[in-house]
Amino acid sequence: MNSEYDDKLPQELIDKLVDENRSVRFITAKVDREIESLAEAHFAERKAARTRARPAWIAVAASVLVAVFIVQTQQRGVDSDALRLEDLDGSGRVDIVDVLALARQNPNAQQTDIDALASALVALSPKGDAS
Amino acid sequence: MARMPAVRKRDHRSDAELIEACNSGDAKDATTAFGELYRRHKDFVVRVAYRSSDDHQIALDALQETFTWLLKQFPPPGAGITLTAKLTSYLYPIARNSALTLLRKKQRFTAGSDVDPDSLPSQEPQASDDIDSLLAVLPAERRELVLLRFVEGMSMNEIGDVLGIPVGTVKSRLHLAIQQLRNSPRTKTFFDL
Repeated sequence: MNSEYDDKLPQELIDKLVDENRSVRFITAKVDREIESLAEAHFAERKAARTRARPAWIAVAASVLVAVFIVQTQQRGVDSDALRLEDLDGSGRVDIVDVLALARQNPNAQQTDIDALASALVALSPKGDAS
Repeated sequence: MARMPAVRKRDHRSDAELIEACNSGDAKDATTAFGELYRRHKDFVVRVAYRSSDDHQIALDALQETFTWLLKQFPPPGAGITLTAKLTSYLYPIARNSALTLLRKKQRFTAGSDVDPDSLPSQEPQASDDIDSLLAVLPAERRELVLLRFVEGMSMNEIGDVLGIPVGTVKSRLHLAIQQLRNSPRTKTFFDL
């Protein structure tokens, strides 16, 4: 027996083995199509997932904008809460004069909030007082 | 005049580049890349599966199971693949194990459903009377090693990877296999040429 390390096969024997294994070709076009269809379906799901993700990103952006709007509104709301309608002129009643006084006392108050108070006051009493 | 079939444009990307396209490319590129991987490696997978089962249908089923496994590695929902070895190193055990599992199921079906498949003797495919009989003198393990080396063209390291054995063991088993072929009446004439 050859004691030297032997890792070569004669080329003719290799050629015969390769030819024999090359004949193992029974993969049909139908099988090819089935696997290609599986791949298409799998990666189409990736496209759908990315499409679904897009509205989520937009929703996040919209949420941020809404949050900013809410914070700003609440900040205005805090200011509006400070616009507590009281009998500022000591007339014995809360009326439109008090609204105007409140506006003068709160120069930074939003006009819309002043208007809202005035509207509410008028709604309470056609005379413009909260009697 | 008959229309010529569309000639597929050859994809020159490496397996690693194709894998990357499957990992993160858009749907179209990923599908194309996967198709190229399938085209390149389907024959290897079916040969491994056929050697493991000696059954055409089992080999085709194992082919589908192997590439379905590969597909599921890519998102969604797979995490993707980073090739640290040749792709054949990943595909070989999947193909072989799929074929062996399918073969055992078939044997169980043949033997009866109440038979524990683990109790069935391992039925390695028998070499036919064709050229494979030249390797029949070798035990199945060495026969597979010779085929991986000389038919599939794998390096010693790659063979060690797919068979899960050290490179030194690959070398010594290959040496013994070739010694057997050198001394076998069926194959010694090739060595005398």
